[in-house]
Amino acid sequence: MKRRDFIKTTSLASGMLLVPSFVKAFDSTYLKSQGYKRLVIIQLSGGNDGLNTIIPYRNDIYYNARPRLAISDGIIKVSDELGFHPSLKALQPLYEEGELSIINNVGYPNPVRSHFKSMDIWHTAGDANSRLRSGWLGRYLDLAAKHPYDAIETNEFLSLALKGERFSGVATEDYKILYNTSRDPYFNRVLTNSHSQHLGEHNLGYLYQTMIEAKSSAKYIYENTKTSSSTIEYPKNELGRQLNTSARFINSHLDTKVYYHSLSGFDTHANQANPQKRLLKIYAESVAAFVKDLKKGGTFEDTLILTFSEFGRRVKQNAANGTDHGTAINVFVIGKKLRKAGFYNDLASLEDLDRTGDIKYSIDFREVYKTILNRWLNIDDPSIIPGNFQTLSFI
Amino acid sequence: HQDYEISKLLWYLFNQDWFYNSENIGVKIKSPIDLLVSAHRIWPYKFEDDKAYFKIQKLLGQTLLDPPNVAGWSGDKDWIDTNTLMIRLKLPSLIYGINLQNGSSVGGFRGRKKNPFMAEVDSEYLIENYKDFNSTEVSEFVLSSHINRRFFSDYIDPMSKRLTAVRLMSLPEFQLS
Repeated sequence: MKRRDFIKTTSLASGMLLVPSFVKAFDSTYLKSQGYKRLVIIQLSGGNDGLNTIIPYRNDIYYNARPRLAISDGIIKVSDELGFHPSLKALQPLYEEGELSIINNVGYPNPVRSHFKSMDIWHTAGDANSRLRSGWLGRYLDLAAKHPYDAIETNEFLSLALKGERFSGVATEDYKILYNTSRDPYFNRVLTNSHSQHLGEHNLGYLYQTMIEAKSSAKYIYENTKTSSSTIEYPKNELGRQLNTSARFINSHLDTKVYYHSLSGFDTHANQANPQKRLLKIYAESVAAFVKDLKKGGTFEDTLILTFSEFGRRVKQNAANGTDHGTAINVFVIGKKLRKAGFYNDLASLEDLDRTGDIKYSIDFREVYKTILNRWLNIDDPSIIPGNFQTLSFI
Repeated sequence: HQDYEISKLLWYLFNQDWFYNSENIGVKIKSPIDLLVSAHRIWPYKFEDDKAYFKIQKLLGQTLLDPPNVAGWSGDKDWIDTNTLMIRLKLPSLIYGINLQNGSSVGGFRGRKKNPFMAEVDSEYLIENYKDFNSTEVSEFVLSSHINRRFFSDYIDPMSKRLTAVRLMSLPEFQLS
């Protein structure tokens, strides 16, 4: 038996309290050297038009269905059949390096076209009939997390995806403000007073416990995040700021396992061309800067970035020069150790649409989730994603 | 009670001694709306910008008339995580614009700019409405549980009912009804 195994086993057997601290420190190094993996999620809110993002530039049906909205100029032709929207230029190097995998036609049966419901489905790993109230990452963290800061969302609100049955991540736009709030002298006094009280009682004890966790999370993040200014320039927009913050956390080697971000504005029912052009550019440039930053910090290898949207849009454009809610859409996976970079699968046939004229899904999004859980986060527990789903081979 | 009259049921309930047993008081975690309303009952406030009401609801996880499904909200502990608790504890000092340490007012334009939750309040209200009570007695209007005497000096300011009320509303205990 290797020395590492011996120490790990005995430390578990003897109980954490009896293990001298130098051995505990060694224990976490062992876990880190095993390949500590983190997951970054980028949510494109509103339903991104996948067909104008990954363009079948040779397909007449595409041009006929979108007489004014189809992209014809400046398409980045990365394969014989498919090209990128010109705004994704900043992602082209990633594609060429084999660090980007595009999974086409991701969806689920009986697709829902309501924003809230479909987003709930993606967050909870449910389907049209389910009523799950916890998120898939929340349920993963119920099993794998030790602290609320094991998931950080750079936003005011915590997404359902990061809420488990017991676990909840930390949502903060500005970790310095969070820290200052947690150090308010009045609240410190309140906490000190609570130490000398019997707080076993149900809810009051839970409230104080949560208060203590909030304070220690804020402290952990603040004290461990290095503030030396990054030399990487991020675009000055919502997503750029979020990713800049996360890169700082990641390069400071916080124990955080999941980082969550969102970019909204994709619900382009009218005059889609300019908004989508702008948003995809924001997305591509922010992600490119983020990847560059992680590479510089030596943390890109251990990071996997998943981008999704709650649904795609209809094949035919509408009369307002936009598109309406659709169904399946592509999902982007960015990382160093991709098994199948480039296009993971073909774009669905535009001749074989569903009965409402929308793209049929060929890959259930829960297969993507399951693959990430099994192959990247090294966990295989049936409680996380209900139902039987295959794992894919993009990682 | 066979005529299903709610008023009769409530009359019965409110007249039972066990309804007021200490183990039944102060055990439920207030929903976000409960919290906002209970503060308002103690010291009324009004946001200048209606959007603040929606923002708070969204931050705390309960937007009125928009439950997650027909079963409503699961409630109780589910209202509380590290984020929502911090907001709840901080909210009274933001709404009433009062510094919890020294009771000074945080106001004016600069105050408003930094603090989207600062509301309009009648600063004399507490003094007028609770003129027959001292600060310690005011504490009994705010919290459903009793504060340990040892900590009185941290929370109760005999010279300021305003500061007392806001401090008490900033306690985890205020989250319970």
